[in-house]
Amino acid sequence: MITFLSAGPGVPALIQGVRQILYDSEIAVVASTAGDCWVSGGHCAPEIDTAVFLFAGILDTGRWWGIKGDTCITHGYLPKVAGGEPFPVGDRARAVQIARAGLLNEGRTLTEAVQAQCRALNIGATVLPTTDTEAPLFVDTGTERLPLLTYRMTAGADTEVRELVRTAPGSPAVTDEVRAVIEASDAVVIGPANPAASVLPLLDCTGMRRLLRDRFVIAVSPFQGGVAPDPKDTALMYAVGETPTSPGVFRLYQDVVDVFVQDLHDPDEVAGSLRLETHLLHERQAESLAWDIMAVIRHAVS
Amino acid sequence: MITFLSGGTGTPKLLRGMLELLEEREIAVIVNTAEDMWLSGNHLSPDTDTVMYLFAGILDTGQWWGIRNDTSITHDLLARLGIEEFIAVGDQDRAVHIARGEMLRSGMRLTEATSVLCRKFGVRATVLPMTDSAVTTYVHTPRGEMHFQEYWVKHRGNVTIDGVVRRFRQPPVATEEAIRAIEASDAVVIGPSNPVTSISPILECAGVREALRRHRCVVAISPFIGDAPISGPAAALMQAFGKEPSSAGTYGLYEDLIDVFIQDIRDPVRIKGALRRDTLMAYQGKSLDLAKSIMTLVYRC
Repeated sequence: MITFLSAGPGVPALIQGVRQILYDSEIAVVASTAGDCWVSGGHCAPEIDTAVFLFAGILDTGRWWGIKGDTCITHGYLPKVAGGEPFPVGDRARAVQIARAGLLNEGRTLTEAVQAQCRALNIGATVLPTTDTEAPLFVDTGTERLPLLTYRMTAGADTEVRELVRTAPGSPAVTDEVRAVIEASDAVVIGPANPAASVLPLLDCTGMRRLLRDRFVIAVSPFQGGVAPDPKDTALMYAVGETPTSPGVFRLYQDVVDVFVQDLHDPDEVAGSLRLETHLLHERQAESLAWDIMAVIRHAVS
Repeated sequence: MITFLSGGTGTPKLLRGMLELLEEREIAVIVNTAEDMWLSGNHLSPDTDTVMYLFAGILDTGQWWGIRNDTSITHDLLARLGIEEFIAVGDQDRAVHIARGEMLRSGMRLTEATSVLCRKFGVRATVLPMTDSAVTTYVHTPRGEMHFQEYWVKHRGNVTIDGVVRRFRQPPVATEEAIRAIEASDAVVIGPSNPVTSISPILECAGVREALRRHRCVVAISPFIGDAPISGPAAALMQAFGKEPSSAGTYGLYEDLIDVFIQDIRDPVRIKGALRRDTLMAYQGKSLDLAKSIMTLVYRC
């Protein structure tokens, strides 16, 4: 079994590539819950939903979030009736969010709720939230605190990011289910998601780093150097005190990774890194990277 | 101004006739909110919505609730996910529930939230919830207590009931706006809605009965013809409420408040002093006819 850490933007394409090689039942995704928020009475969990939709075969693979062919009737009608949502919620996606909110309000844990939804959608893969503790991350822009998802979807590209703050008290802990699935995995893949927004919140959960130290961990840098990265990805990296480059990413991961993958053409050298083609612009590239990663894993764990 | 006490079906049918006779802003409607509930995280207020959609011209008059030509994409997927919303909430309808839910969550009163929604829909009539606090009608069944909407919409009334109760944390008090509307009106019309689940909750709000008693022109229309209501589950509910399921039972509930009682021309039950009119508002023209005869009475008051 292979476990992916985070299903943040950048990772679903790689998971889709791995699905061409492994059965869904051999894939687990541990999703960050830092971007979760309550919207219009529903529970919005962007990473969990993306992973669930992907394995259910209904993910909109054009933008890598939301449901293919979804409509926005309710969202579109809200401004007419004195309402409004910070970002568009599709009608089908809303049903998933309402269903999950219903389960949570009944007293189920997030893990149980997600498992129930995976069963309802006949998903073969394992999708788990990192933690059952609600610990959303906010982007402090100097004037206000935006939920991570709102920042990602609606804030202007030049919005200042002072820091990423978690307002919930205490530190969230990984669940027993996550522990079990990582312990049962041959390898853990940290996909090319934004480290600050998707991966660090997950690594910072109590127990996670220790779990990873005993596993074979391969991480893929989301930054390829040379090209200017997305301004929001850049701002998020600077907010955690790192540059938006592969060496910056490596510094954040170095205590847990065994193999660090960076792009063939990346000018920023990370000593000991594995150089692969990491552009995931079309299916063939994702599948090719997936084959390379699987080869590394087979070589390492056999 | 004329104030109506309304539930979800009978009275809105009368209102559609009244709309042809009166300026919309001359109409105030105090609606029953004892069927309100939080559903799928948001606030459903069936009778308020029906009345509001009627004035906004978007009511689905085939079923007398919901928005015409609405879709139900979210509701359909919810069913596949194993969540049974017992009312087929439309997608646009859901937006209204969400907007109201958010306003209530932010601390607004139901009256204010309703007024904001009405403004957005361009409704010039005054739509007033009977109270701003939560009160809910439950029915007693062999399976235990059940929300009225669940009994009527989910089980379609196919459950025996032996009691009707109202549950609340604080006894409901009529809003100032509702009492003022009654006082400022030339007449109050208790529409042909279900006496037990639609009208009684309004009358039970502290202040309403007193205001009606003081009023010199209160007209009530019976929803019964013989022992059967024109629509809805009124008969079983009346019995569970300890009243005879007929115009006589209805009259018994209202008699100390009203000046004129109207019953259907076909109704075999005799009530002394009652006026006989055709109350079967099967189509727009019939609604208009009944509205006209009520207005004639009102002008005489």
